[in-house]
Amino acid sequence: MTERDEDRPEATWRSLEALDGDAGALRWRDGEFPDLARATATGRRSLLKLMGASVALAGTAGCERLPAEAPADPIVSRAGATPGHVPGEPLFFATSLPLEGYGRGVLVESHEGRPTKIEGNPLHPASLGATDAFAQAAILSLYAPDRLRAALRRGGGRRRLDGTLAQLAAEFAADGGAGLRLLTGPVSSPSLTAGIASLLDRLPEARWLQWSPVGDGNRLDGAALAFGERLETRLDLARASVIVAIDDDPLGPGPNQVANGAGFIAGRRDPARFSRLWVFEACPSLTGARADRRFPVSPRAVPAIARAVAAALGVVPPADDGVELPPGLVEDLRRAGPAAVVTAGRRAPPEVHALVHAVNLALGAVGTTVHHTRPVLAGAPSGVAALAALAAEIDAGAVSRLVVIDANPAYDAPADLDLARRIRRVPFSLCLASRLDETAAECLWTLPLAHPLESWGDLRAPNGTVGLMQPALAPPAGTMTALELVARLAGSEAPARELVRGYWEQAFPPGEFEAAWLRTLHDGVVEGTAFEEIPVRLAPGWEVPPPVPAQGEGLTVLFAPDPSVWDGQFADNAWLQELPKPLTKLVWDNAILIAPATAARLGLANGDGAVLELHGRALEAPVWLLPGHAPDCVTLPLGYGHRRGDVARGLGFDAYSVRRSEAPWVDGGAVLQPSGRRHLLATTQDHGTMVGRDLVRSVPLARLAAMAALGGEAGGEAAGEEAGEETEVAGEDLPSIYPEYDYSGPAWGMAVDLNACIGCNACVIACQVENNVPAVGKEEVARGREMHWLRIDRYWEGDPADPRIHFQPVLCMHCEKAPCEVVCPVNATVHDSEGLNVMVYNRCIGTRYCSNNCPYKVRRFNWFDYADEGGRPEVTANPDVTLRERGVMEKCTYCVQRIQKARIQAKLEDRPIADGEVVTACQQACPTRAFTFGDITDPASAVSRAKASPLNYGLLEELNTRPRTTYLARIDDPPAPEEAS
Amino acid sequence: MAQIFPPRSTTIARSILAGIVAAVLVAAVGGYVVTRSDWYWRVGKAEPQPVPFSHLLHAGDLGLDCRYCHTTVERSALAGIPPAQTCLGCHDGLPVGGAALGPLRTAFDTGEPFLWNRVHRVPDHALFHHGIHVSSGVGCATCHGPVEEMPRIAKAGTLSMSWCLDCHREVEPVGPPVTDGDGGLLHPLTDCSRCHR
Amino acid sequence: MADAGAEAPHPPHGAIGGVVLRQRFGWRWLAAFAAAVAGSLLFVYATVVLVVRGVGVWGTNIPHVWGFDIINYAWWIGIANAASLMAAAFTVRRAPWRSALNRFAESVALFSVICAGLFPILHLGRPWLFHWVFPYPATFGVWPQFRSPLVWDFFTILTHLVVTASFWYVGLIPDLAHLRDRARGALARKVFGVLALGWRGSARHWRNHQRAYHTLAGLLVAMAVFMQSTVSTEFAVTLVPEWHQPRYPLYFVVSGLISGIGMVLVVALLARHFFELHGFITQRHLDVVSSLLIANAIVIAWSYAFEAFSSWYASKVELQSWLLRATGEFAWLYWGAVACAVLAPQVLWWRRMRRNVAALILVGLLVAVGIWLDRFMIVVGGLLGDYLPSAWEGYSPSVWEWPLLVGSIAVYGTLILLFLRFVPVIPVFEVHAGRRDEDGDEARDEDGDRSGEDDR
Repeated sequence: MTERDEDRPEATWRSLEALDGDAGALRWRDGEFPDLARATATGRRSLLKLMGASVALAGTAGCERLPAEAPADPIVSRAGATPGHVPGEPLFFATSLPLEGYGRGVLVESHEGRPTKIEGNPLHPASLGATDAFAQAAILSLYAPDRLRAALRRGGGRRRLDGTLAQLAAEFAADGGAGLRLLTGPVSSPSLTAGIASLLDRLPEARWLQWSPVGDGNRLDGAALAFGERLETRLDLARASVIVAIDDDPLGPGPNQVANGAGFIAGRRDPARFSRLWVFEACPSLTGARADRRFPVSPRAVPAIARAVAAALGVVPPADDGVELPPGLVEDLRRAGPAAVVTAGRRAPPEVHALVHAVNLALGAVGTTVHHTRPVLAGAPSGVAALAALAAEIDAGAVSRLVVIDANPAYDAPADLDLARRIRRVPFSLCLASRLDETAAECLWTLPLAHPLESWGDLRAPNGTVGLMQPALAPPAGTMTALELVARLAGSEAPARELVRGYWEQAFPPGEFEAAWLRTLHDGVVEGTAFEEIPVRLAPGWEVPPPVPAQGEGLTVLFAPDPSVWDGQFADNAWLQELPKPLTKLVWDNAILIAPATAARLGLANGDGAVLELHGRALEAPVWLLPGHAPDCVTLPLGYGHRRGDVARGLGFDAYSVRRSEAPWVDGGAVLQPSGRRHLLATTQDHGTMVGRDLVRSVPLARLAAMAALGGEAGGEAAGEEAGEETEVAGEDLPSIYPEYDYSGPAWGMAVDLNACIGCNACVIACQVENNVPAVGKEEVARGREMHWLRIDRYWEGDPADPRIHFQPVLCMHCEKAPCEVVCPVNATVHDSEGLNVMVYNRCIGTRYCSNNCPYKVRRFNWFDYADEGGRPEVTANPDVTLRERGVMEKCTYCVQRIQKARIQAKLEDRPIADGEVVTACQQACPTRAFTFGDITDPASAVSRAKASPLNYGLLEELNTRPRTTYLARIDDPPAPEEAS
Repeated sequence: MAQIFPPRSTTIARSILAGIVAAVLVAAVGGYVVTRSDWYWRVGKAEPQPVPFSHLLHAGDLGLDCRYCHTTVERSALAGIPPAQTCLGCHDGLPVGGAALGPLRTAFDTGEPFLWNRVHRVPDHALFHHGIHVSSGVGCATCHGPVEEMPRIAKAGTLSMSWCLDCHREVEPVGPPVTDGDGGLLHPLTDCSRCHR
Repeated sequence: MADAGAEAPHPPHGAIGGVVLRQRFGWRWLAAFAAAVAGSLLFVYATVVLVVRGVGVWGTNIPHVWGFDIINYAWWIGIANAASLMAAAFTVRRAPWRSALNRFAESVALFSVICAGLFPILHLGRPWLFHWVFPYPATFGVWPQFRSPLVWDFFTILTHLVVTASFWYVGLIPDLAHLRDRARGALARKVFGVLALGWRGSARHWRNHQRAYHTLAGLLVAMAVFMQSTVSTEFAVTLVPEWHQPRYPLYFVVSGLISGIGMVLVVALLARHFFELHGFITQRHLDVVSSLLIANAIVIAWSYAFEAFSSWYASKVELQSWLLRATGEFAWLYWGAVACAVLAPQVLWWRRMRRNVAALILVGLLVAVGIWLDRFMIVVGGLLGDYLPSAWEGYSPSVWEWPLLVGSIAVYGTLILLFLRFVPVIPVFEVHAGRRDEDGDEARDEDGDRSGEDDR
């Protein structure tokens, strides 16, 4: 507790605003958002309330300010009109969001100057119109409660830093930047790279290094070994017919998840050319979940497997290390040739990547399924080695000035480097951070970093294409971007916009810059900036035998980025914290992931505390049994156990605290013992199997052709069939006592393609943002009160040691014969003339009877006043969707607000609603286009065509609810019996 | 034994019983009437406004078109409240209404928004779209009444839900009607989702 | 003098009025009353917390959206229906020995329906809008949804309250007059006088009174059954695996009945003990009640058996769901219900047990408890094994649910204690009549006569 208290920023920090401007700031806040003034009360889930309060001081220049004495609910005349802005109509800005330095193009929907929703940018190669979960949640981190808004000095101080930046620049210039080290996150931005370059020209003594705790550098180093130069490697899974992932997760979260997912599914839509996915991995991943043949292997075995594959294809001489490749693998690769691809992950050492590159080259895959370009990230030294070097320099006293930009080494550096203590030893340290994180707490000065949605800049997509960043709202006074800080240190006063513009002015032909610039801002991408492919040849003597992992005693430990908070940078985001992790379904926590068998051997069960000892360091954490995890090794998800941050602090455990710089990804010799403690872990799905019911259906590729011929139902081959469950008759021919409707206008329906779902969670959070669904906090989720309208059910099937993994997005089925409607005493949930099962919040009195009678349990109830406390300031909510009050039921509406919008637009233009004009939030976010939505009365509509597929089936259709949301069974390519042996 | 009650107590008892029944009836009828009265919904009541703007003068005598100020009424959910700029566009040139316009001028100079008191208030859970109504041939006056005769703007209708439904039930739905099994009509314009979402 | 009367086989009926008119409060009564009032205050507090903070204070969740709120409701309404059914049936059959039990039954019914009526309102997410269930011309022109059992329920509770109350009061009028005449204090005389509505015991009064009384009784018999089955539809019309079953109406009536009878038995025995009414509540009454208990228990046993069978017979989902109830996390509820509601009454086959007051009271309480467990098992257990395993969740009542149960029992106790103290617990005029019948040789009707036989 005391440790907590002295941890609290305000205890040790004084901001300049706190000294003079604060009272003013508060009055100003109360004036602008009267409804937020009261949000500062503490109480149950005060954590989330706090987030409500935070908006008050977050960037607000985007919209008008009301004087404090504003009448309740006034009408506002603005001082002057804004060109192009129609009151009540949203504006969209194209910009880019960074992840690991790479850019992901997005469109920001902004109502009256307030960003409310993020969509993908169809023109952007890393988005293609879709987004990942992180991008969707960016809106909320814009309003993180603990965002810095003023320059801070360690221990408090009165000097205004804006003055001193110029002095600093002068000081630096005076001695050529001697002892100056610039530590940034990974940088792909051309303008920032140029800016830093010019800074370094000015300061020849200074050095620049990049740091990311989950960087993918090994892949490039592997290329350096194989081809003699560091090269980017990009996969084109759409063209692949055989994919072998060796401890890699191309479908998992990361800068290129969307493109990879889209490509992978594109290669599996057509049964005629259906790619086959082989996965070797220790910890089940999204890729593993979609594998046709998955092999849980210890990471120790990875180098040997890679070498065996290479040897089998004659790339390297065979070695008798007794590695037995599964039958059919090599034949598959040979058969596919150029259409095959082998890939290894960030955990694999460079030597393994070198092997993989060589294999792809030998297969002829390079140029078809694998593309090598020059590196997207800047060339400055990066990775653990660079960081270790910095630590050494600090010890040697060679570092007198340290500037950290948008990186958090004090938290996420390997434990043995102990940068927290070392940074404090540097005489002058300056940190540009969005909040008072672990690093900022150690630095002498901290400057507030502008949020990407408030920034001018540019970012490169994995294929090199540049996406421009433009602010959707003006940053709060005092914050600055990395580009600006670098410019300041180089003595320039230009604002970010000028800096970016200035950089691109040279890039365009002189005459037509203005036009091109406007077009680029509109599109969000700079044409023709994709890198062209670089032809590669094996470098002489490329082959270096992979390091044989020490056969130490004890368990092997893997480190992995967390699917919800990544490396920890999203830990302050309540939406992502509450986003169920795709496989564990845990929220607000991380846990030591372990195979059920291993756990049983150690006498551990879900939620049991365990002490993990790793080379002299130890941590205590709960374990979580993960079917399909390789035995005798455990996975430690990174990104939790923060020591700073109002939301992040104290959640989960800090895996970095046992990470060593010599073994940052895979470590051996760990000892795991029960600690006797019990931990409360909140999960959104308690029960993981289908208990023999055919909920998720899948069809083996082999049977597909036959079925199509029969035109029969997918039901025949139910996932549950092994358990002997017979599929029952479809609803249509059963009689019903419910009223019949005949629809003249459109009648809405949806088809969810289970074959396309990779379980990435983008839809879940997109739905949450679009529909103002609150986050409720860990305790409430633990009570079973999560509010997500759209959930992804995850089922295990078969042997817990190596199960098949199923994902099934479940949203309101909008039953034609809706059981919920007949039991509501007040007509609060009713059928409408377009077949929607509409929920009328303001009519609901909260009997909750409808939820009882909903077999899909998709209804959610406002047990408390979540809308007030749910972590989303009211002013940032989607104005087209009502905020639900305490005590009312809610559920998926098929984004009825978007339907109405389309209808009104069509009416204004006096035309019918076109097919595909209504796009639901989940559908729009989905990288693999698993959702199809439209008018089911129109046989030509995309959704009707989808539902005509023999794979189409209704969930629990035997109940005769006639769901309008139906599923397309998953197609699988399981090993034929003879292979399986 | 001695009588406890005087003879008339029976009458008293009876009248009390009758009174209770009567009270209930009165309460019911009264409630019904009051909740539908203009007084209850503040129909015809003008709010005090910081600037004494007169629709009678502008829309009536000068005959300005509604859309001159409420520019987005045909395409947006909001009719659009004119910015101070619009007012001053004319009034800068004109000598009229000098002092009264003070607040507007300050707003324009300081860039501060200018606040009117709301007269037509629709609850948050009802989403009204001006554009679709106007384009469907519902004139401004249908809901707002003879604005050009109002020196101070005031509500012309109760704006209660049944007041909305009065129109929505009347209007013929486009296309053939949607029926439910009980022969009842599902009138598209009375779908809850039309206004509540 | 009441004590003196208690010894006699047919004590002067003054003894009953004496209970009311004797102005001394026994310390036992006071202690019990204090406890009951304290409990009622707890109930009020829990309610305030509930309304201020929201139903989230309970342990409910998705899918277990209903907790103690509906459990308690189903329990109380069962007792209420059963007790009034019992009273009404006795009256309609004109069983001469009924008089001793009638008013206990009526009172138990009235007070339980009061307790029951609270919960449907409290359990709402927005209780202040409960009147939307009532059809009235609102300005937003929306009406209730009459297909919903909750609307039916609203009306049954209302009806029940009205009819039971009037049944109770009408039966009370002559006795109030009786008290008025025997009361000493002027105030007491006035109060009882007003309540007696000027009853003078004239032949005309008697005729009208009997007519009204028996009409109401007739109504009640029909309605108690009807209302209790209505409650059951609340579960039966859903498609929740363990709720959607044809046995429900009968099952609810019977299980309600047994709990109500148990409750009446307990109250009557306590009253007999503390107010020395042995002369009025005789062994034959206890025997009749005992056999009723046994009979009910057997039907309930059948109902459970039928449920098991139909679950097995219906579908795999139903069977899994039933197994989950009978063997899963909440198995103790299931078997607890069986033990208390089915097995416990069987001991009454033995005459010794029927003669043992402690045993009878114990059985009465056990039955009530058993039926509460049974309601718990229905409301919670039904949703344990729903259709989608991904939605399966646990449920554990929060600290704010127990006060509602304890509190409602306390409210009930308070009312019962007041009843025992301020109202003749046994209809004086009925005792008149009863005695006249039994003294006179010719019986009013064979039926009454045969049951008039004393089996001692």
